[in-house]
Amino acid sequence: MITLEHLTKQFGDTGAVEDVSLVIAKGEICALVGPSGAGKSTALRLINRLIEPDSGRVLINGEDVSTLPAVELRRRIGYVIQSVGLFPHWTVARNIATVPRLLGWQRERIDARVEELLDLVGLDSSHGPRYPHQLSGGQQQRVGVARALAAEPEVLLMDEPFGAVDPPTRRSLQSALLDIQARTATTIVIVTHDVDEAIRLASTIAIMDRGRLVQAGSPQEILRHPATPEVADFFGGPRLGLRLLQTTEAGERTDFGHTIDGDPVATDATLDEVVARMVATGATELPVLDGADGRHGVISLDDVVAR
Amino acid sequence: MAERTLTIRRSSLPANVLPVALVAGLCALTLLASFVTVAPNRLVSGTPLDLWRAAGPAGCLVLASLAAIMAGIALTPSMPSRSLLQAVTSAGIVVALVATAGFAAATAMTSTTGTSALTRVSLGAGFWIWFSIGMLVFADATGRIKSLGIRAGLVIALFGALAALAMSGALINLSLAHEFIVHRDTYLDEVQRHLMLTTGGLLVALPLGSVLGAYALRRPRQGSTIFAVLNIIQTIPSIALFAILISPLTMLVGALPALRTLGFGGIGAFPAIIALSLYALLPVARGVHAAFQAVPASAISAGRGMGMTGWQINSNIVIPLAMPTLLQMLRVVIVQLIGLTVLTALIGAGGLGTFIFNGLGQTAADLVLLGALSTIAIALVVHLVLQTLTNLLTPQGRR
Repeated sequence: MITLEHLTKQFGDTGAVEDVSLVIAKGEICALVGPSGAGKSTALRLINRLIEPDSGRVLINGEDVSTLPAVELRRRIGYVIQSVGLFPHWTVARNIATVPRLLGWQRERIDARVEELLDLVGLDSSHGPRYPHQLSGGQQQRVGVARALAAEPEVLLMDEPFGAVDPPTRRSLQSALLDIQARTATTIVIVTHDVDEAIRLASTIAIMDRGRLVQAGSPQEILRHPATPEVADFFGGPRLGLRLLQTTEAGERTDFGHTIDGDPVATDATLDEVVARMVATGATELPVLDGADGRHGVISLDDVVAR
Repeated sequence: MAERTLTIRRSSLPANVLPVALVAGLCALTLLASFVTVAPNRLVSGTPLDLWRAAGPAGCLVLASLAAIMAGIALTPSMPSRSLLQAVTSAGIVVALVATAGFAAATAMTSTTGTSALTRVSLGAGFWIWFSIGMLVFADATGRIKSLGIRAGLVIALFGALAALAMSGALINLSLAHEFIVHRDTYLDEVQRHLMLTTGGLLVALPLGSVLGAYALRRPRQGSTIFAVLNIIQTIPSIALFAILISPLTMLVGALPALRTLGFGGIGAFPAIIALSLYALLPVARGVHAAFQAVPASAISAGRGMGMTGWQINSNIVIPLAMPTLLQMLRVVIVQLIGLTVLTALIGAGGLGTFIFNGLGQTAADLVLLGALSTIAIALVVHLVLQTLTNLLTPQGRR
């Protein structure tokens, strides 16, 4: 879907991005992770040509983005920034309609799309006529996401989208994003320095440091086989075990066939939630229910710990 | 909970009691002061006539009842559309006051023994205190009205009523009117000249100041130097600046006589416009700087990221968001320039200042007043028009 080929960009003497190559599959969430100044945002902006590379190229669906007019390219790619950047003088609905209007959609089609998007990001239509300053930070970022998705882009770029909101709001925004991604199958590239956010959201994590791509792989792979001591330190550290729990779903460790009494956990709950429940209730075994086919099972503390 | 008890207590005891009592006391005091003064001619100081003797029982009754209505409105708790009623009543007071003064002048001219064509009836301290209070209440009350249409309507109605009063000849016996009639031939010329000088200063300052402001936005370090220099210019007393400009400009014209044929020189309109534009540079540059500084950078980068062209970013985001501050700046600059232009009469540039300085020279207070009131009226009209425009052009999300 998105291919970065030997991308290099220098600002003055310092290399912001140095020889980065990465393939992002269609419909996945890829997180660019690293300390500040690692070149994550620069790499992201090279994709929609807010920055032009010194060398290398970006392909989207096999098409070299440098061959497309930049403005046209950006209208096809959703873009969300940390500061949200809603237009303060426009209503929520008008903000969301930005790209469809730029593309010259019909009025009725825009109105219908705005309604649909408000619903998609978990706002109701009463928010449409309000102004950005009348919304909370979390609601503003939901509008930011809705605006980015307005013209049904195949690719959504997010630059530390949830960095400025408080932790509970961040969690609910992350859930909303996972839900949206499941419904729309948009390919998402998200820049973050929050390791937990990357593990929670991404199917592929690309770790950058000082402009270079250090390692790319699934969260499991990176946690289990970190390429360098720095990666091990950045990702695992003392919380390695807890983060591994976050990457595995209960269904993978459940013994189906028998069941026990109690409030069941879902098969798609992650193991850290299972452990949390066990600690809270004092039980070492919990019933599991597969919401999709109604199978029952049991997960024990031993199953959770087993590698 | 605590807040609620506080509100109840506040509304049970009208908060307006103190200011109303103060204003009432002030108005009562003016009954002793002169409402108009009657002088045998324009140069000597006259004998004061208090409100009772000047306006007669009928005039006093009208003013007193209007004042009582206003106090009643102010003191009634939770009165619906209080601001509108207050605005209408205060406008009524202002109009009644001016009419009373005109009536008092007419009576004084005819009834007082020993009057002649030279007798002058001028407005006294009592009139001006009532007039200022009335205007103050009117400005305050209209400012509280939300609807822009009603606000504009009230202002136009008040000015219209005053204009109609003046046209009807009811004020013809006031010495202010005498001065106007005497100077009728030059009055419009001087108004025109005044506006020309103000516009000239503005037309020079707007592009220059905008460029300086925009430059300061791009280069903050050089920008602070620019603002430091402009600040220094601003601190030069205006009369001194006019004087400073005379000799270099005279020398310039001496060196290049061709300039003189174009109307340039050390005195007159040319140095006046230069000085006015120098004063306007700082507010223009500051306003442009502040207006564009206030446009959120995140909105611009979001616009770019979503595929707006540079032109679309300007027309959709930058200009609408900067417009309210720009208009505000324009209003402040123009009003300031209209006031400053008065002083240009000192270097022979003309304008309404001519009346003021002639009046000062002849100790003819009403001639001074003619120039000053005209200047104030022009500034006020410009202020109101630009204020309305600003309100109309301020996007809702920014109000």
